[in-house]
Parts: sequence; C-alpha cells; structure tokens
Amino acid sequence: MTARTPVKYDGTNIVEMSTADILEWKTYIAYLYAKAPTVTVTVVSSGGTLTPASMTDTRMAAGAAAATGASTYASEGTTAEPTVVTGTTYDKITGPTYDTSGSAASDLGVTGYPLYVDSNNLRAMTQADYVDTFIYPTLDGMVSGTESAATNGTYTITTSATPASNYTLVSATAVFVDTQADTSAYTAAGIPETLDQPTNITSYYVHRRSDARAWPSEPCLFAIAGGDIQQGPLSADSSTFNATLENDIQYYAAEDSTGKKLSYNINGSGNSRGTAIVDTRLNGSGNYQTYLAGGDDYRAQEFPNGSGATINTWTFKIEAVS
Amino acid sequence: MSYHWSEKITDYYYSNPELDTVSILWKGDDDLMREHNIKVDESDQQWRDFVSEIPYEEIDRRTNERHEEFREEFRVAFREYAERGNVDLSSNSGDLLVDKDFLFKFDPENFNHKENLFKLKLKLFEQVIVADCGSDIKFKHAKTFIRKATTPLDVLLGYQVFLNGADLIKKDKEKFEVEGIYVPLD
Repeated sequence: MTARTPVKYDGTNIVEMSTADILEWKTYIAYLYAKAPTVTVTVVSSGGTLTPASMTDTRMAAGAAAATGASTYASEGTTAEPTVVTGTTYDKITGPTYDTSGSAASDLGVTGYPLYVDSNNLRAMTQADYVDTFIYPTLDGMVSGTESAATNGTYTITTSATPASNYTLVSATAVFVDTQADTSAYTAAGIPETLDQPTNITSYYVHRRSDARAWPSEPCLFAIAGGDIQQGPLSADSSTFNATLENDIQYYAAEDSTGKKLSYNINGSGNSRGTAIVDTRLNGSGNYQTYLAGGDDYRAQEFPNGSGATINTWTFKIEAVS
Repeated sequence: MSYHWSEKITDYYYSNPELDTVSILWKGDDDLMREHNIKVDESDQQWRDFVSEIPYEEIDRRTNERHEEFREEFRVAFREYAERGNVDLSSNSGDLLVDKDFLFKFDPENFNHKENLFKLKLKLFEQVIVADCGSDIKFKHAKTFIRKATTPLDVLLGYQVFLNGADLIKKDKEKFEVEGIYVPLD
C-alpha cells in the first residue's frame, strides 16, 4: 500500500501531477465528503455529549450593601467584597456522530483506478494504492488546523451567528455565552444595588465549512481495454470513479480503522478549530461606593470592576482516530 | 495559512494571569470587530501559525502595554478619588509587591498572589537578559516554562536558564512537559 503520484496529459506528454494538481483533487474529494458528511456535530438544547460538564459561565456580582445606621459609612474593609456567580452550564454540543451505514466501494479493477509511473512504465493503481493516494491524504488535510476548501464538511467555532463565506451556520443557538458584570448598571445612588447584573460579552456558534464544488483542472489518466489510455472523468458526476471517491471518502471518514477516522473533542488532542471558548470575569478587587440616602442612612457597597480576564478556556479540536 | 483572523488582526494579548490564552481582535470584511481566542499550545497548528505571524515577544510587549494602560486608568481614577477624599497617596499600585507569603505560601486562588505572579512574569520578560536572549530553542522553551509556571518559585527557576545557564530537563521530546531543571552551581 503506497501513495502514488497520478499522471496527467499536459498536451504533449504524459507527466506526473504536481503538488498543486494533487491538492485540487484533495479539495474536490473534500467537497464530495461535504455533500453528505458522515461525521457530524450538532447543537442540542441540553445534554450534549461533546461538551465537558464543567463548561459553565461565571461572572462577578456586587457584594452585599452595608448600611451602618450611624453617622458614617461602613469601611471598605468591612463592606462585602464582590462575589463569583456561577451562571449557566452549557452542554449544547453533541458528537461526533458517525453514520456507519456505508461500506467501502468494491474493487474497480485495473481499468478503474488512475495510472502512475512505475520506473518507465505506466501502471494502474491498486485499490489500496488509490485509498492511500486519494482518500487518506484528503482525510489528513481535513484534520488540519488551517481551514480551507480542503477542510470542507468539517466544523469550527466562531463568535458570530453570521457565517463567513464558505461556511454554514449549524444552529442559531449559541453553544456558550460568556457574561460579565455590567459595570454601567451599578450606581452609588442605586445602593443597595441588585447584586447580579450581567451583560452578554461573547456568544459562540458552531459553523460547518461548505465550499462549492471546484473541479480539478487536471484529469487523471486511466487504462482502457485493449491497452489504450484515456483521460478520466473531470466534469462527469456520474462516472464510476467519481461515485467511488464520494462513497469512499464518506465511508473512511466515519469508519476507517487505521487511524484516519475523523473525530472532534474539546480540550483533547488534535488541532484547534476556530476560536477557543472562554469564560471571562472582571478582575478588579471591587469598586467601593458610598451613598448618603438621608438622615443617618449611610450606605456602602462594592461593585465588580476591572477588565475581563479569562478564567477557563475550552478549545474545540479535530483529530484523526482509529 | 487561512484563518478568519489571518491578516486582519488589530490587537492581541494574554487574557489571563496564567498566560495560557491569547485574545485576538480582528476586523472582518463587514468592518465589525470580533474576538478570537487561542490556547497557548505549541502542539497546535493554529497556535504555531499565530506565533509565526505575531511572535511571542510582540504578544508580551502588547500585553504589558495593555496592562500599563489599565494601570494608568486605575491610577487616574484613584488619584481623582483620593483628591475628592483627601487620601494620602504613598504607594504605587502598579508595582510588583513581593512578600514572604507570596513566595513561600503561594495561594493560586488569592487574587493579589495571582496578579503578582503575572507581574513577576512580565517583569522577567522585560529584563534585558531575557528580552535579548535570541532565538535559541533553549530560551524559547524557558520562556514557555515561565509562561506556564503556576508558582513564583517555578518562575524564578525558569529565569535561571537565562541567568545561570540552567537547563530544562524535558519528560518528552515531542510534547512540552518539563521534568526538572538542572542548575549548575559554579
């Protein structure tokens, strides 16, 4: 089993495809995968299997107000400090879910697979060669951290519900909403302020790469009965070779047992996809405020303050597994 | 390299005292500013691509600058508060204040200890011996060790690599996992 370099006809000679030619094929095969991905991630209302149990939003809330009743304010030292509020736990990502209903395409034989140069001869790839040449390298490209048309059909996380070009929003439901204390909502005249006054900082969404089809510019060459050579299918969706590529990329992505099966996780191994999800909290030590409400009604309270600092980071990752 | 933020970055900084997460601000084609976060992980392709565009030194510099901006805002606010309340100003809140508890009873949950740990790391990265250490992989790893350090004593151990020719002893050649530090006594 060996990855081969397919050949092409350059108008004059039969030559090996370039790296750029082969990348076009991998990108095309990724498109075939993306037509009906067999390894999926979905957004659910709760009970998501991918999301760790600890994926909880936290924020700071004001400390309890202090009223002395005497003709002075409670000191900063005796006024309650801002406290941590544990907000929503987000368990909204489920997956990876594998569609294992497929099976590997049957062997197409000597006329079914592209030709390559073997010493000074042209030889047809075996079925194993074809998998090593077209399917596995495409799957390797699909688990890359760099997103491109070669990662078509795989998932990423962004902070926008509006999909970027070549992406499709999986769900308008945010899989995590990071909140912080809304410092503008706390005023001295409002003491005793409501302790927990949050504002949404960042919402995170799952998107799927969904590039349109781009045909490879160089067709492969195939042997035909009688010993002749023909240029293979390029814009022929109905060809046997195309159908085999589509079947096999979808099959191997979900069911390969040699370490090429696609998988997703959070904070596990693999390459990060999109933005990491972060829970942030204001990091100040408390904004001590006082208010004379009248008579001997001296009030003090500490409000959340500071800048947002990351408390927890969750990274959505893609990897190849057995 | 193709990421949403590629060639669109407007700001970047460590977003926590542990220095293990970087926030990137980038402007999309729609002119909206968006935030993107990356965990510091040298085994991750996205992180490696990010630091190839924005080197560690730049992230350190911008983080320091941003903290200084916040400190300055705090100083201004505190000065105004002090003037209103006739408070005597005699200490500088932006300085690294080290006491024996910070060194010997470090509490990772203590806000002041965490803040001081962060300041200690920044202070070390500002030292000429660190800032001008060159691109030797040994120093790169030592910087990573300092960034990931969770106690001030570990930070100071990492500093020994720059100061006294100490060496990190790694558990695994592939992953960044430090087993110990060899410090020569001469």
